[in-house]
Amino acid sequence: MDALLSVLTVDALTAVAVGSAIGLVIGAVPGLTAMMGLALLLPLTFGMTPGAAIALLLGCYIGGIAGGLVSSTLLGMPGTPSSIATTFDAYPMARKGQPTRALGIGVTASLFGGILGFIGLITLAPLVANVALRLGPFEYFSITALALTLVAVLSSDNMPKGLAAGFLGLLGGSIGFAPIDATERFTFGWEHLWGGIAILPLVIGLFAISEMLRVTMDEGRAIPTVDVRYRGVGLGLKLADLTRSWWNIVRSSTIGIVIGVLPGMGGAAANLVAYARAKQASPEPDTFGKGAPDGIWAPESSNSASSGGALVPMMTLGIPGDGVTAVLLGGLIIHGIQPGPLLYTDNPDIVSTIFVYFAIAVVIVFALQTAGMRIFPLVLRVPRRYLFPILVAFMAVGAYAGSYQIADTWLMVFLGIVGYVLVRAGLPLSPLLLGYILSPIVETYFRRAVMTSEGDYAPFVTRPASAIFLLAAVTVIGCAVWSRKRAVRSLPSNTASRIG
Amino acid sequence: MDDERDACPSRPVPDGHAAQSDRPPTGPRGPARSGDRVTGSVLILLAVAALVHLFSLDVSELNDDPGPHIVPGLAAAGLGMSGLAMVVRPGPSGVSRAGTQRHLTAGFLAVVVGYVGLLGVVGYYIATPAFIITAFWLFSTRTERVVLPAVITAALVTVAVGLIFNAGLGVVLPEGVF
Repeated sequence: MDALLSVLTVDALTAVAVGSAIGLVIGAVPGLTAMMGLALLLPLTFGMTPGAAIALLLGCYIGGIAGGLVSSTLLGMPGTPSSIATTFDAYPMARKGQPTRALGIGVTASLFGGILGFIGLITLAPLVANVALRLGPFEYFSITALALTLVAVLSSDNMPKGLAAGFLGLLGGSIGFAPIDATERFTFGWEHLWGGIAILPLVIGLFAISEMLRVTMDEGRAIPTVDVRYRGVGLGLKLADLTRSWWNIVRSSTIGIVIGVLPGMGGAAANLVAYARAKQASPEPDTFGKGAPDGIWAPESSNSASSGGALVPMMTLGIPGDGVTAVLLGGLIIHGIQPGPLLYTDNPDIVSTIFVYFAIAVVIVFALQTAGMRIFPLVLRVPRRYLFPILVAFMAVGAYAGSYQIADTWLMVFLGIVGYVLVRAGLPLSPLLLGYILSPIVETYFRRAVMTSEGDYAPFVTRPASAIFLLAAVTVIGCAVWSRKRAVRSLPSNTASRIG
Repeated sequence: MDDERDACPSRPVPDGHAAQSDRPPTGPRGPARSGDRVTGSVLILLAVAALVHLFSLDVSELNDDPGPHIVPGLAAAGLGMSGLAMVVRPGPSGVSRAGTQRHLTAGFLAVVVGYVGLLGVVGYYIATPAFIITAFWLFSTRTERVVLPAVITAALVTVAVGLIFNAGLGVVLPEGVF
């Protein structure tokens, strides 16, 4: 209760509300993701206390995941990767003349998923942190390698590309002075790179500038033509709708939490798995894809619950589960907060703060979505001639504000172009960011481990926990290779020979 | 030039949803395969350059420390192997096909580059309205190119962003060299 009262300041509550509103708006616009929202907000947190910064970023995180509902329902286009499956039934329901009910089910599902995700977070995080405290540098190196492998392999349907992106991130993260002995690497005499590539221009460039270039190239000036008029009052659903689907909500949320905890999975996978399970378990599977309420309850509750699950590895191990939590982790690091097992012992107040703001953000997002059901759909109509110049001005000043050097703004533009080229080449950006963030951690653990064992590398495979994590990483790669070979074999013989 | 195309709105697809989009699918043939090979070759070159740089470093010898070149060296080796895999076995997903708005994208990029250049020379309060008016013009169709909304938007956005960063967050905005 003390923790609750100490963090409930007007500034922090305002920050949660503002972050949630921005997240909802950004999540609602197809092409703008929660990751981009967090990248945009990072510079705004410079003048804030760590508590208010956490509040703003968490609000944007939760709001960004939930915001995808609007475009999924009204346009049939997922606003975020976390709401792909929502389109399958929310859009048909809206087309049948029930957009209010579809949005209402989605908003309510997000609330319950968020609450269950919060319960998962506060239950699992202390357990994982307790185990993490017993791990040494060998185990940390191995678990970090496993996380990076999982993200690299799962974020792309082409394993070499996912791995290449992860390795590129590791190399990018090694620019500047090395940990432990401060050897200068990859700076080529440019003093600006001594401290490495700053996270702000990296995140804004890779995820915001590159996305704007992609959207401009693919869609030009056009915005979708859509009837966004909202009809109806309240949430448009009855209590019976809720009671009829309670088990679906619990099951889908549990799926969301479990998938969220696994690095590399996150809301994008959670909503699809929960949808498939709901359809499988339904007595009327034929109604799915035609506006079935359970087809909305499942993905929306699971993607919200996955937000809580994804915070578990980030808070307890310092390993972000996906790209969005990687940006969130970067935001915490900017404010001097280093998530990991020691966070629980050294900064328990920060842990309580994250828990409390997460719960508040879930409730505020629900309130904003309910109150703003008439307003948020209008966001879909904002022309690019207003949206893009505003975003660029904001990002340019934001990148500059981190160091007061225009060089960082140039770096942002350069990395934006790099990000665009990588996306076009099919290389996923999430493993790259994760590699960049984990690079100094991996290197420090690796070198510290070898130094403590007096130059012996054997403990990496002889210590049981370390061996298990490394074996799991190798297994993940082996499974990916095997499934790719199987996919090639299942193709017609002439096609398979061309692929190899 | 792109105005006619703009009259037919396309279906925007967020990052990571290529499989869901209505873009033409990219198969194992032609551009996808050669694209993978080019990408793989570039990655191999990058990896080799990184390895050459790392093993030319003057490394101070600490007790049993494997050195600052080992972990990035392993990453470079992994990058090279991934690149090699892409060259030898180009994947079925290949490269994603770019849209058709090349002129607009090049123009947008040029305007952004010009803005950043101007920021450092003339400062925030001159560069930002100039950028917003130009970008507004660029993203408008012929019928939407009206001076007054562009100027009002530029003025409002410049003041609002300036206030948020300067008054709200205490950030000193770029002042230029004059």
